[in-house]
Amino acid sequence: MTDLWERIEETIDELSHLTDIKSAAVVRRDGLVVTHTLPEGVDPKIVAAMTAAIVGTSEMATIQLSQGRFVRAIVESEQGKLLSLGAGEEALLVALVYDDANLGLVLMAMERAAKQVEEILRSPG
Amino acid sequence: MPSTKEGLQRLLDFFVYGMLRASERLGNAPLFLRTIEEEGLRKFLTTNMPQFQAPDDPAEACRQYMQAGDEGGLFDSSDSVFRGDGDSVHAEIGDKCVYRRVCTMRHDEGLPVHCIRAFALAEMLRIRLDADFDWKLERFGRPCRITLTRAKWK
Repeated sequence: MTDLWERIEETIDELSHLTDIKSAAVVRRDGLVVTHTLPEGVDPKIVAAMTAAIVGTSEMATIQLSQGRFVRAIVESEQGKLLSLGAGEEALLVALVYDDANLGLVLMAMERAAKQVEEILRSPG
Repeated sequence: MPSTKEGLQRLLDFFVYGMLRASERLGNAPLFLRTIEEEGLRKFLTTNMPQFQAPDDPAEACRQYMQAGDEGGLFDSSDSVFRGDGDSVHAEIGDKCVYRRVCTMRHDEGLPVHCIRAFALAEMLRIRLDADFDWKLERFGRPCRITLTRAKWK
């Protein structure tokens, strides 16, 4: 594995240790998995493709509705929330969080992690 | 079956053009086109190209993939050239590419050219060599120039 990949993995590990976060992943915008801490039984390939699709369609909806720049997508379900946002031009950051999570704190941590991923990817490989 | 070769080409143009426009409208063309190629190759690679065994060298794998497609009657590979080392492939795709008419249409309409051939080559390398390659259409023209580069994060 490359140094870049290891640095991204460290960022995701750190994010996943936050109490309110169940698991997290970095995926490519074309739907391929980079690294993840998703639980066993969850197919990371499907999560990656779904996340890329959710963000892609959300960005398109934002443009079509003239709502300015897309910031993040939040999918709320009975037992948790799926949050996804851009991490530079090439990647997306996704986190599965508990239903009663403190969203403010989680989003702050995610934005910091997304910036780190973006910087790692911008650095020469 | 369409009764003429031209009819078959027009049918292909119809579906490829529609697929490209739909992928863009749904917000993420690279995701949808890559997924279409992945699913198609996983289903048809063994049936359409039963003799194809990708060697470890990516440029050679691309060359043999095109050759296998040619032998299977899928496309004419005689004007495609591949060069490269273990980490990159430089491809030149000539006039005989079956997707050229749609690409030209899109180019003339001022739309981005999503190279179906490049998506296919990158997916083939991922499936057969377990290697992620990013591609870039360096030049749309005669020939088209594509570069596939080993992804930096795997």
